[in-house]
Amino acid sequence: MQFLKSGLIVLVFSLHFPLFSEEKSDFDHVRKAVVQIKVYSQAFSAFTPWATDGVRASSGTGFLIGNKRILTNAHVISNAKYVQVQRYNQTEWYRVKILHVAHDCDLAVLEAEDPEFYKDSTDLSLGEIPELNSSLIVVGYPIGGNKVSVTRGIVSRKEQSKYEHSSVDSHLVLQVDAAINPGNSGGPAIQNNKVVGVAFQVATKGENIGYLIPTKVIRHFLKDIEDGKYDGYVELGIGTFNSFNTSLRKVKGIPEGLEGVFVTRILPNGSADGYLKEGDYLTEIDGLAIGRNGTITLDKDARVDFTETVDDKYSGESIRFKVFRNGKLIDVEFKAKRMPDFDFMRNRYDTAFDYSMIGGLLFQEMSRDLLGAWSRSGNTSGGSQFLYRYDYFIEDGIGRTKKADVVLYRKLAHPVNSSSDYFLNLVLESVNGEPINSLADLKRIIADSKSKFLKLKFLNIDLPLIMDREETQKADSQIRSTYGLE
Amino acid sequence: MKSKIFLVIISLCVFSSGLSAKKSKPSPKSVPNGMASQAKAEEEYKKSIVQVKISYQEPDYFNPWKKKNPKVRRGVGIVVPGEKILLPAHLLTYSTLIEVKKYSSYAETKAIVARQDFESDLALLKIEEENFFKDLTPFEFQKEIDYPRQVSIYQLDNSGSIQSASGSLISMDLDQYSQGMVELPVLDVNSTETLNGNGEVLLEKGKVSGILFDFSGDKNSGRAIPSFLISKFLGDFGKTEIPFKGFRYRPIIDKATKDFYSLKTKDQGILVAEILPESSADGILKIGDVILEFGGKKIDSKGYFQHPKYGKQVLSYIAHLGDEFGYQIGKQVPVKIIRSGKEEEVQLTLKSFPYSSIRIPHRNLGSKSEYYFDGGFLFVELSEGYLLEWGKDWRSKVDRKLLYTFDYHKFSSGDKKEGKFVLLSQVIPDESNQGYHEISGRLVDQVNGKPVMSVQDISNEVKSSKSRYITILLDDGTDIVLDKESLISANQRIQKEYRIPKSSMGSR
Repeated sequence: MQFLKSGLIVLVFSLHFPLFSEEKSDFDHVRKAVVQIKVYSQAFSAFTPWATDGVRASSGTGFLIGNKRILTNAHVISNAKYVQVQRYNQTEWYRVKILHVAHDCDLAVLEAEDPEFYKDSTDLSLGEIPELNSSLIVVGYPIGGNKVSVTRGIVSRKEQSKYEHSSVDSHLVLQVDAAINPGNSGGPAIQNNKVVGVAFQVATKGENIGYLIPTKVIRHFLKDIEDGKYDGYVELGIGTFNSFNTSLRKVKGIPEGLEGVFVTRILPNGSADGYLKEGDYLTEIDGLAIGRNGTITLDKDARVDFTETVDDKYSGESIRFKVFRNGKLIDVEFKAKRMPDFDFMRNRYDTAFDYSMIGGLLFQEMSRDLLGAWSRSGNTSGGSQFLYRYDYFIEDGIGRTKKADVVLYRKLAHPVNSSSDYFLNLVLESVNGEPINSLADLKRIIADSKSKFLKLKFLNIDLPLIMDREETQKADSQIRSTYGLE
Repeated sequence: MKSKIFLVIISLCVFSSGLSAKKSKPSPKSVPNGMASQAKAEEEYKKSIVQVKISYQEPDYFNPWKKKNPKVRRGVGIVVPGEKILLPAHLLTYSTLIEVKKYSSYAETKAIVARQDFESDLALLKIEEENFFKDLTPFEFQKEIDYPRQVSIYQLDNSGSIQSASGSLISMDLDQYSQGMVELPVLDVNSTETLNGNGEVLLEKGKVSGILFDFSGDKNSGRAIPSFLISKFLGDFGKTEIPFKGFRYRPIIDKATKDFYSLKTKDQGILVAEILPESSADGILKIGDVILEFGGKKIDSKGYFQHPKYGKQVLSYIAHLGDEFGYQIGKQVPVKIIRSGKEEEVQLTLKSFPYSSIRIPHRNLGSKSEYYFDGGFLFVELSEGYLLEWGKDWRSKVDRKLLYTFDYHKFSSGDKKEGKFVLLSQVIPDESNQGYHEISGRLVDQVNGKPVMSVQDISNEVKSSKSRYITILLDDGTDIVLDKESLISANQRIQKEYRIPKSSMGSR
């Protein structure tokens, strides 16, 4: 009873506290820092990499953080060809240049070229991670008008969650129940006159659930670009398993009371590759005790996965583990690094897709965008090989021996490729006996080949596809003009 | 053996076999030639057609210690010489009780399976009750099939009266039957009337030309087992066993491929693309061989030969149902090939399908689902039936590694001894298996450092290992540890708490 009562008191207090603090907030100061962003963009298509898509107009929000910099979401300005900004009391649109884009945490920094844009503006400063159940306002230019709009919400959850922009990366997010709408993207969430997050995505199920990028992630981005370039997040590159089971602990000789997690996988080319071993028992990271469920204490609100510690680091910084290995506790230290191996699984922006065409057969390195194009084309033949290789390329260590899977993903029909349908959507293994471990391999082998035939051997298929090399070359220019390549 | 073709064909069959369970509906248009002939037909055929009721229970692959709820399907059987009843074999799948009803009686008589063959989808029932066949007359079969041709289609309905419909035989192709692995002739039948495809008999001039095993009302079309395949099953040609050619092939249609394999003549030959270990072709043919002639018949660039009666048929016909050309199990088929640019002739000794090379069993073959369940850990062998438990669009729901394994590693490659794929299907929560509760559907790699090729391997290791702890390595690197000393108490708790039969737990 005693407990219940005090709980109630806290609840009432916390409901009142933010309201009280908002009374004090200086909205004019905030309004002068918020920016509407108008974008004309042109996406690249993995399916038709030689052609350009149509130009698309969209809008978003950003805010000034000092030193003429405008912070917004990466997805607001992805694939942008022409970007303009305007503040609430301006009539002119000002051209901006994109200084830095971080697709893995959906943030970007822009700068307006004309100093006029900054006249009578204010800068916002970054605050800390807000408390659960505290209220905040989200400011922006949601679709449906070009006036600044304010929404109030409450911080309802803090968790590690997927950032949809790249669709691979997970970082800390704040969940708020606020009416965040398209166009709000990149707008600041304000508490006590300080930015506590950037609005960036909404829940597809459930109404009025929006997500903010917390200042922890924003600061990580801003610090990363201090040297003039964005390096991106580092990855530990391991798989772990909990240590709840007593039999498992006994077999592995883990002393009673020693908490931690087992390493089950070392991913090729990750930070831990060559330092940690499968079977290691991780007990501490950077001096923080790891629980048997793999969590560390973040703040008083939550225990989070121990990899959150790695998320804070920059390329080249040390990661220190205390490891129980072969009956002894040892210290293992290594440098954090980025894992480019994951790039093929990310949505790609701002760059065209590299491809190779041989007699109307189109080859590309497997990527998330290609997977999307593949599923949209509705062709399911051979699909399971493609899907398995995509999902397990890193985990099953395929990436240890090759850079990428090259896939025959499309065919531009011509008599020289009449027998190739069977091989669509399969992974190319070798050409004339030479292994294909990247698109560059394929291009080199084809360019250097002097043999009469090209023998294209595909993974899991014994019989190769046969092409006449000279006939194929002759057909190429014809195919290029027929199908409008280049 | 890694094949895309296998997959496509099998999924077609899965689709078609799903229709057999449809309830028998009386046909609205079952009066083809007026009342008089209707009565005549009934009189004529009621002594040769019976109704078969099959109670069956499907296995539950997720809970292999139990079966799903019992269901009933009905089919049509026909009386054949030797006091037997013939019907499509797939109707008998997972049967628990088979009952037969003839025209003269409302009573159901118990029947038992005398013989069944999954390849031709045919089964024979025998009746132990004396004098059951006294007032029944066996059917005769057409020696050859004529098509296109009108046929009458008969069945015995629930009330014990004969129903007739008309349809036409359109064509004949080679395909796998729903539970078979070998392509065999299948008749295409068209009818605008309501049919079930559960064994209705196709008659022409009073003789059987086929048995309908599949029908789609939406398309007005069905498929039937031709009479000569039934004759083969009944032993009229001597050996009843169906041979399998042992290889898969690809057409040669483009110029580059023709040049590469030194083919001079147009529209000639096919390429050997895959060879199943321990099959007829194993050790005789090689991948990349061009087949010019098969059993003395010229083979065109898409794999067809000219059948004297049935026109263009694929070469599998010669190997799988070549009795008329003198080819049966154990016989040698001469094959003219081009190998490494030179013409030569090899002899292919016909063997049956090498079932031993199947690593992921077809869903209906051998209805037993192998599993080992101990300490709450349920290990199963990967089978098509297990994957199908995910429902209709299982291909988009199952883990992509399992899907890939199913598509590309269903058959052994023949390189070395390869066993079955074993999965840790799920973990039934108990205090002893704390930490493992969320694992499901992961492939098992090793037990105590040894490769796992069957669930029995794990069971044996638990039984025979001298150490107290058994370590099982999953494909994602997770170690599962079984404590032999706590297994008995864990099994007792799980048995009591989850009401799982004791007989299904522990060593088997």
